[in-house]
Amino acid sequence: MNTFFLTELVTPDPNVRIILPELVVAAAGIIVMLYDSFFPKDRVTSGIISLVGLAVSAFLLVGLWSSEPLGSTSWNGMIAHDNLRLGFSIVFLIVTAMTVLISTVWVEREDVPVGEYNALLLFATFGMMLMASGNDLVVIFLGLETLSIATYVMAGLRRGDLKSNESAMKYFILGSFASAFLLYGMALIYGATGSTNLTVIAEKVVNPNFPALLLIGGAMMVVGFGFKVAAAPFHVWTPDVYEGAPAPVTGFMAAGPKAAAFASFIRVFVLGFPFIAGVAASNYLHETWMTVLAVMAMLSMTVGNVAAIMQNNVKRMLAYSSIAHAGYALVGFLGAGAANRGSSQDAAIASVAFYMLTYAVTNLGAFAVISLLAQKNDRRSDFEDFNGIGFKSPVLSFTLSLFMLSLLGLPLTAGFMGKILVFRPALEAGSTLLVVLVIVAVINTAISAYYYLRMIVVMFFKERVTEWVEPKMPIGLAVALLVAVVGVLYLGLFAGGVIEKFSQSRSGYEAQLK
Amino acid sequence: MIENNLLSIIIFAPLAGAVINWLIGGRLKNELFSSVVACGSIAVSALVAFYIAFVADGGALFINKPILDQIWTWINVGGFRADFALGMDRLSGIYACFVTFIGLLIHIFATGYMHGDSGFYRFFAYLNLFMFAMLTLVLADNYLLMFVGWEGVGLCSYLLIGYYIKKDEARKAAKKAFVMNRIGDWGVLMGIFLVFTLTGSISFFDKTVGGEQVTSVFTYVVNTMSADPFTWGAIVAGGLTSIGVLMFIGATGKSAQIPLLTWLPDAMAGPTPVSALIHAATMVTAGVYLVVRSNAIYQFAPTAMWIIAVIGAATALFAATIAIAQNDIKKVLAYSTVSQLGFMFLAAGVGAFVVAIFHVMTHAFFKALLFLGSGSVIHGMHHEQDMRKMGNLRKYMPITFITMAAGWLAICGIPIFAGFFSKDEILYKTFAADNYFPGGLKFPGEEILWGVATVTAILTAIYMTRMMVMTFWGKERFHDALPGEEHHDDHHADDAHHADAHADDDEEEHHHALPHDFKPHESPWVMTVPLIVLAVLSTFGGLVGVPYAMSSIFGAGDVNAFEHTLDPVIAEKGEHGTSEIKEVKHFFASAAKPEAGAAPAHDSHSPEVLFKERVLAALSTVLALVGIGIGFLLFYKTPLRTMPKILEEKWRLDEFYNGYIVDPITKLSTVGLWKGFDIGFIDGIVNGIGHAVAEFGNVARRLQVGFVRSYAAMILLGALAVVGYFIYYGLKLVG
Repeated sequence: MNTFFLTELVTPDPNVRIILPELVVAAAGIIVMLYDSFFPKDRVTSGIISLVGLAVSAFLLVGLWSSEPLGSTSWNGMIAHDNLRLGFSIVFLIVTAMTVLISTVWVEREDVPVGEYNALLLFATFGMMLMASGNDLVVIFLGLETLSIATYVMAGLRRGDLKSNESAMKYFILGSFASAFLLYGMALIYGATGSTNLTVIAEKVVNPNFPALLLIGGAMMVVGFGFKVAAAPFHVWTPDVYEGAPAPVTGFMAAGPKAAAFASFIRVFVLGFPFIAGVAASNYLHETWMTVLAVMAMLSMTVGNVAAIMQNNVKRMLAYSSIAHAGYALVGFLGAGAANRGSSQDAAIASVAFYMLTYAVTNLGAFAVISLLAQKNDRRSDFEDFNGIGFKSPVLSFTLSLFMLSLLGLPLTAGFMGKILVFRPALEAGSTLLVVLVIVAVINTAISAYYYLRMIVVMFFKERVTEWVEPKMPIGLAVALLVAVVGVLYLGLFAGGVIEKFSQSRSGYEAQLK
Repeated sequence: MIENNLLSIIIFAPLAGAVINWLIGGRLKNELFSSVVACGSIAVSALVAFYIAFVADGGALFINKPILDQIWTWINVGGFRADFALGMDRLSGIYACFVTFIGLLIHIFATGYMHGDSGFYRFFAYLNLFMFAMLTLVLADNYLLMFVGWEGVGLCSYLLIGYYIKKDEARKAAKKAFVMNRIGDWGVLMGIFLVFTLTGSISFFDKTVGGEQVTSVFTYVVNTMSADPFTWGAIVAGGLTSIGVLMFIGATGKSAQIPLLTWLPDAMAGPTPVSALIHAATMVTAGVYLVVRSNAIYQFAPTAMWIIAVIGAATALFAATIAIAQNDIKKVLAYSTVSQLGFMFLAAGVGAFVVAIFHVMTHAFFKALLFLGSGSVIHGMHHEQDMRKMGNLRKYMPITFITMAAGWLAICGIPIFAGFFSKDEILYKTFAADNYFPGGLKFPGEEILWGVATVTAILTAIYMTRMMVMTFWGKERFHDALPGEEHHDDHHADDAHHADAHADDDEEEHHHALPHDFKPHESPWVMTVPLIVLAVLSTFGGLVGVPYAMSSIFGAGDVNAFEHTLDPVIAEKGEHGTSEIKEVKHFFASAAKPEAGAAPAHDSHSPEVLFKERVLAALSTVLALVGIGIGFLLFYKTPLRTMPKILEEKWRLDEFYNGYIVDPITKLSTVGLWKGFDIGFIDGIVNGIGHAVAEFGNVARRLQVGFVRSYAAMILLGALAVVGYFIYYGLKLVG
């Protein structure tokens, strides 16, 4: 045993190249923080540094896509370099870049320390990227905590506002509670398999040291990740936290951290707890988590959509909508779980990444409009506040309508392609449970039409009683809106290329080499 | 596979024109700018269309492979593939050429006609958008994209019929057109679904995209399917006949055939250039295009073809009888269009697909001419459309008169003029339908159909002559009051039924009352030049398709360029086609012609056949002259002769539809569906759900109290449930 550790220590595998994107983001965060402490008056540069850092990171990431063999690992197997990592990491970078742009309106209005805010965003992004690339339970947990602590602070950044404080506090307490479950689950898995490395775990589930521990550990991790992706019944924190947090932060939380949680959730369960024919332990584990997640998916969709109907606050409505969307994404996740190892599984995983991309772009676009209209302390974020703005501010109302339609999943928008793609692997798996799941998902989509269209009805067909002053749109927000609109339409019309890139399988890469 | 990316310019140039006119033209409100943008974009489109059709890669009309333009892969899911791709083969090449060319002429004409209209830019934006949709329809390389164009032209037609949004009549007509087309669209969509189910493809052309081989619907049908039996049962059997019938339902909607024909005459409420472009020359022939494009399917579906032929002939006669009694110059032309479309379907139904397209083209020339001529007349008459208030206009509008006369002779079928050749061939091929009907089957009732078509041809000559006489000859009646007008004021209650129908008209007429010193005037050159060009085409345009039976009289040999161009498109003949298609030819030829050995093309050149065709041609010429003679005889002296009331009232078809279909549906919807089902059942459920949701909300509120401790408790409960479930399995594993 000793010698084993020794060799590990003596021959480390510091393939820095492979985690360069992560490092760039972390470095950018540090630079922003330092810059802010020297020039606290400068409110522009830190945003630019952040965007540059994100762009460089994205550039490196795209470079890695083709230069480094997919499916390889580095840092002694702690970092995985595969589609899952690449697809999701791109999503995170886009989310953060858009959040930086959207926040320009908010940081001005609320007089938030902008450098601090941007630094926190970058650290959170670093955490998210680690969660996607971590092939080791410890790395995943590390990423999760880096992310969580940054988001706790961001949720409470509006110090003067009671709601914001409440939101941060609740998020922190409940988040820690869930982290405890996750960590305990990891410990039990380590106990059952003797390793924290997922590749090893996947081999070990065939013949675990303690089969029962394996199952309980899995259960604990379902709880922990279920909390992070806000799947029912672990969603209870979401409405309060999302409503209280500043609108751009809410947009970020619904898009980024949720996607990150999905990334590691998929890695641990789909890749770490696979179905292996003829092996009791792993099959029980596989079957149990599939069933539990299917039930959670149905619950999330139903609770999210039904509750969203009753909301009067737009942010709260979108919080419930995000719970429902977690349910839809889980459908694709389960499709990946049921698929055979290989290209069909890669495609299913890519579909979840793509879904998170479409959801992120659409949702951030919606939050961009809401941030702009909400005014100080997000006072104006009830449905009533959107009454009759339709033809008075056509740009804002038409873009918001587009985002609503995309969230609903209307053809020609990103949401439609996303839904199609996540439902497909579930249907192709050929299991009754998943077919039922897809039916529930489709019915839920129909239900969701009510509240998404309500937004449009309110904007275009309700009379406005109070006076309407169109807010001035800062350039950063305008760019973010443009990106979101173009993104929604592009992903809705020309999804093919993106999906291909996301699901480029190992064999595909090898073919490319030849 | 030949790729040429220029193809996309043909469709996107008009789209760009529409966008520019909408966004920039709307701000500038400058007529010159809007005209230049609109006409310029169509001119670009026309130039490219002709370039690709005749020059590029050997010319789409001369080579045997389609020229394709893969713009992007639209949908590629499972086995379903739809590309946003364009393809120009000989059929779509001909369509693209005449659509862009006539479109250009009509755009130019419209710049004069719409002069001074406040919505000038809006009109041209719609018109350009229409061209985009129409060209998408024609150039699409698969059924789905074609359907996009199909819906697009429907939308533009709706927008343009209702262009005069302040006129109630226009709004209603637009709505009617839209709804009726919806019924047809259902058929097309179902047909496409069925095509995909049966063949696994929706593509028109065999091609390779990104290394993936795409087999066309038609290749699949021709190679692997066999002909449906000639029975009624085949219609509902879900095979090729069902496809054919479903698609023909769509065609009846778009091309105004029985039973979905009543929208087209109402559509005349739109501006006249619109009537010329959309409701005469291009959009309404989309149904014919669909049928001819799918000819491989129809060749295997004799029942569907027979239905098409019968409906076509019936519509032709029906509409011609109505046209004879209309007083509105545009209504006459509208019913004439319906009637001529019936001819085209008759041709397609008996298997003479090429002739159907030939008639589409010649009809596009002369009907666009007649419509634009009527537009010129209306323009000159200060928006008076009632022929009873015209007369002797040839004195005032000589150019309009001469050009329209060319169109009149063409539609009547006087030799040399374009309509003669196409109409005559339809008559002949109907008469000899047995030789053209696929699968060697005997065509039941060909003589009757020929008789109907011949009578229609005479009627056509009569009503067109009536229209010409009432408009251009006789005495000037500009200031005459119509019987209905005086009537209306004095005896309002006397004929309640009529007062209603005439109320709108009367209002219009008072509105447009002409000043006493009124003199009609000739239209400006932007309007007369397109008329002249179209008149030339209507006169000589038919010479591209002179049948052998006639050209051989003058020793010119086989000069039917049109037929030779389209031959390869038709699966049956396929002399230049691929080996697969030849097989079909063989299949049909051996079954159809006992005296095998002679290829069908040569067969039709045998002396008896030629003699028969010549006799029939002579007969139809004589009949046309007789029709014109009757027209002069009846109407020259008494242009205001009262026509049978039932014809004037269009066989009361609208009333029939309203009384037996619309009203019952309205009633059912109001009483049954709305009051009974909706308020009772659905609202009951909704309220019930609302109640339940409210209850649920109460529960949720109790759960969502906002206390962290209760949230934590809930999470814990959930966790216990999950862990419990896992443990349940864990115990199984251990025990």
